[in-house]
Amino acid sequence: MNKINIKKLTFLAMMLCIASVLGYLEAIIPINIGIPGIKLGLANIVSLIVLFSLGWKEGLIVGFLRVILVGLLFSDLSVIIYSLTGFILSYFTMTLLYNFKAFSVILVSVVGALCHNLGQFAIASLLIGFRVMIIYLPFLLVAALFSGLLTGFLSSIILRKLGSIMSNFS
Amino acid sequence: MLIRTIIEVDYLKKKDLIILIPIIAVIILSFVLLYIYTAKNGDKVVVMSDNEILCEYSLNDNIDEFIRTDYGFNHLVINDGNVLVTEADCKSQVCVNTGCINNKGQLIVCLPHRLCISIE
Repeated sequence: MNKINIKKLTFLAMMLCIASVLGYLEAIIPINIGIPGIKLGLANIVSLIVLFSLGWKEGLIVGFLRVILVGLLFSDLSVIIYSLTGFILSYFTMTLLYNFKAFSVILVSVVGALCHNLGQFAIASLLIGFRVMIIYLPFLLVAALFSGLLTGFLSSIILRKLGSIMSNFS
Repeated sequence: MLIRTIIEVDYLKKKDLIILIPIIAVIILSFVLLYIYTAKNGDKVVVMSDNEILCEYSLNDNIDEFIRTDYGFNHLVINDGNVLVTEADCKSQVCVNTGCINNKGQLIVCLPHRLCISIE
């Protein structure tokens, strides 16, 4: 019989809540460093933590719901396609790398950020125009490298703390 | 079991370099290509939407215009070689927050209106 694990359900709900708040924070505080539309991807910290602690299915559910929620609440409906493509592409690459078990959280995060930006680049090329977006691509890649390093570093700190707490908890 | 016990979370592993070094190489290469690509172009302001060029201006013109697309409007101002969007009826306001652009290769993007203003 498939019994619902209340602890797991609560943990996932809390993670979804944290991810949505982080997404909201990024929507209201624009970072202006000369490259339009660059974000830190703080919400990806939550996806990474759930992926590394619970598994890929749970991370996918939390991440997917977060993208839909943040998209509906804080930005235009038409922008959801960008974040959704970016998220799906980055999440599946991260899952693939995670399954090798040979790479660190930071590397998985960097590759995830790169794939996220490449997915958005692909959609923007289709909708706006490849000719102008190609100029933008190197900046997107370098931004992904640094934001990926940052979120990966933060995630590994949290995973270390979480590991010792959660093993007592269950 | 609720959480798989996380025993070792290394900050960086040796095998990471197999992927990290090519990534950094590709990024450096892309900047070199970008430099070669933008070096030969002139001072033109191009407005693109839905994969086609809506209009072109010279960077030296003084322009104060509303660009209307199917999705809404963006108020484009070109003044003394500075290009900026002063207002737009989108929710994200990324284009307005970008501020002035004045160099080759810089962009103002409005994702909700599928609009992109670039200097080429």
